[in-house]
Amino acid sequence: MIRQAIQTGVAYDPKQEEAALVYKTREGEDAAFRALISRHRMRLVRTASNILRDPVEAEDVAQESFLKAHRELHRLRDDRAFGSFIYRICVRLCVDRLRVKRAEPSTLEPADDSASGVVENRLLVEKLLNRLPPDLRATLVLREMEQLSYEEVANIMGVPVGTVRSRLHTAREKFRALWVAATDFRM
Amino acid sequence: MPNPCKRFRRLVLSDPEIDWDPADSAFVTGHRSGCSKCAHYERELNTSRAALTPGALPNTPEDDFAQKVTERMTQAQLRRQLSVWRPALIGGVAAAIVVAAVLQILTVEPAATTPTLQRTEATPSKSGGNRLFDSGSIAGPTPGVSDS
Repeated sequence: MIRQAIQTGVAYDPKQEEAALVYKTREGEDAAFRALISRHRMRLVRTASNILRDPVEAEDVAQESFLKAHRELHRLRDDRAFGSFIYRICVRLCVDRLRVKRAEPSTLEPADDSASGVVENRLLVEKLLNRLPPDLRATLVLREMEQLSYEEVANIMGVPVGTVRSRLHTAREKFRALWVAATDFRM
Repeated sequence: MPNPCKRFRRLVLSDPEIDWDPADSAFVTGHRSGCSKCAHYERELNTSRAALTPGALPNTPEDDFAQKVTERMTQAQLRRQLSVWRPALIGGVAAAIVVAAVLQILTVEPAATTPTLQRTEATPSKSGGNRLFDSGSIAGPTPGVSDS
C-alpha cells in the first residue's frame, strides 16, 4: 500500500486505508476483516492483559471484541475511527469481566521470594490492581500503563474528562495505600 | 490535616505536566522541603506509580488469533440463525405432536368404545372356532358353539 502510494504520488493515509478495510468488511469481504484483526490484535491483547492480568482471558476478550465490532459495525459512523471503536469495546468488555470477577474474594499474600524482581513486581501489581474497583483499575491502567491522554481515556470509558481526573486521583491514592501495606507486610 | 498538606497531596496525585501551573509547582517545591510527612507521602506515591509501568504485561496474541475469531464468528452466526428459527422449530414440533396425538385418539377411540364381550365380536380361533379370548383365557368355550 505504501509502495503503491509512492508510485502514484498520493500521500499514504493509514486512516484512509482503515476506512477502506471497514467498507470492504461491511460488504462481506473476509480478507478485509482479517486485515483489520492483524492491525489491532496486538494492542487489544496487550491492553486486555494489563487490565485483566490474565493472558488467557485477555486473548478471549480481544477475540470477543472483534466479534462484537463486526456485529456492530453499522453503528460506526466514521470508518476511519475503527481503531478507537474496537478499543472502546475491548476496554468495556474488560471492565464487565472485572465486575463479574469482583464477586470472588481475593486475599493479599506476600509475593514469592524465589521469583525474580520483575516477575515479583508484576505479581504484586496484579494482586493490588485486583483490589481496585473495575472502573478505577481500568482508568489507572489506561493512563499509567497504556500512556493514553485524559481525552482518550474519557472517550474509551465513555465519561467526561473531569471524571477521568477524579478517578485517577482516587485510584492512585488507593494503589499507594495498598502498595505501602503490601510492602510493609513483606518486610 | 492542614489545608496546605491537602493541597500538596491533591497536586501530587495529579499529572504535573497537565494539571499544574507555575504557582502549583512553586507551592509543591516549597511545601515538600517544609513538611516531612508530605514528602514521605510523595515518595510512597512515586514508588507505587513507578511500579505500575514495568508491571505491564508484554503479552502477544497467539498465532492462530485471526482463525479463532473467524471460527467464533461462524459459531455465533449459526447460533443467531438457530435463535431466529428456534420458535418456528419448537412450534412445528409441538404441532406435529398435537397432530400425532389427535390421530392416535381418532384411531383408538372406536375400539375403546365398542363392547368387547359381545358374541358378535368374537374372533375365530386358530382351530376354527369363535372365541372371545385365545387359548388360556378365563372365558373358556362359548356355550352353544361347537369347535368342530
